[in-house]
Amino acid sequence: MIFKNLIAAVLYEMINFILKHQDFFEKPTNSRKQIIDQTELPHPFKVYLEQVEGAQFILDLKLILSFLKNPPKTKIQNHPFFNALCELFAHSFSIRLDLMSDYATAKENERRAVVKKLIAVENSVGKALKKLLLNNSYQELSNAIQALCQKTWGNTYTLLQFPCSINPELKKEIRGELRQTDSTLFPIFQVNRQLIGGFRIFKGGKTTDYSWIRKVLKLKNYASKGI
Amino acid sequence: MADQFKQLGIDLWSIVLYMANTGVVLVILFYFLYKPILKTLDQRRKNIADSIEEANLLRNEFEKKLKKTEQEKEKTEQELRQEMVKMKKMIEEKRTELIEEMEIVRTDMLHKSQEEIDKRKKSLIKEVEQEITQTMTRIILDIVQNKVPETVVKESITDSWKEYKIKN
Repeated sequence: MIFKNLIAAVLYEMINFILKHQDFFEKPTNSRKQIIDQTELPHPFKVYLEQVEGAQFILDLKLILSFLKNPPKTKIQNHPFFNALCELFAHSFSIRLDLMSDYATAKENERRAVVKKLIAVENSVGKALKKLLLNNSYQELSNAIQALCQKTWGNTYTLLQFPCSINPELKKEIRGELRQTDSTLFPIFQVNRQLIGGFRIFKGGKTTDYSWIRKVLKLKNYASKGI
Repeated sequence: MADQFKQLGIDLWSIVLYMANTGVVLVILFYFLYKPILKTLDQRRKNIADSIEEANLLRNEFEKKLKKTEQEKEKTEQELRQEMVKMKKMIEEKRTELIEEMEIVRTDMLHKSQEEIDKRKKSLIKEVEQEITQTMTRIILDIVQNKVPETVVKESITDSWKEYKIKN
């Protein structure tokens, strides 16, 4: 499970924060927001801390530890903490992941420099996120995030294939557009040179093909029928 | 007289003896030689006559049989001639029948050959069309895979994405 370090880092930051603000759970939600904004936790976790109650937080910690021990056997469906984690991955982290995919073959120094630019936070969560980007390939991370989102949200598997690598801005636009219809979607981008042009999308078992190879094969079909 | 004969040297008793002797010889010859010989001769004559008669009978019979055989032969020949005529007629009929059948088979075979030729022609045309289609596809794929600039490919992605947004 490649997210163990990140989850552990988030827990560490949260617990540190709770320890610093021991009366945090007794405060009303409005006041909590002001205090949480001072932390450097990712936004989804800030929202989680705003909303969770003290007793529930302890139970959540138990579940999170159980998940770290044995991920396959722990049920995390629609759990607020894991909802926050998936929200982090599906939104802000995915943008950085898409940007990093352009540097897949770059030298180590260059990759480190880019990651440092993408994730400016220097706390343990920031370090864990940087490690994730540096030590795992785009495909590995995408598949792991999709698996986590499937387990948490029961989302629809979405894969987009392109004939060549596309720029991160377009990826961001595509993610944004698809999440407007379904916010649990985590689209995975893949290069398939056989498409020649256009793209192909697999969503929830349905394929929509806008590729040039489909058009060529359609033309061949028409030619063989003499139409 | 007797003395004359004696002077001549002729003895009457010798003559009588010679005559009796001759007579005895004759009698003996007659009974022991001539009769058997005559009997034998008669027997032989009879045998010969019998043989001749038998031969005549055989000859007659043979002639009858020959005649009969010749009649039968003629009859058989006539029957054969009739059979030949019948056979010729039958052969002629069979020949006509066979020719008709052959003609039917020939027409049928020609018809089938023509069908086979047409079928083969269609199949060849189809094969050639398929080959042309495949070659066209290969050429098109080669061009679009290797000759199209990357900018055009990237433009196609953007255009397809716009099309997707409109339809969804």
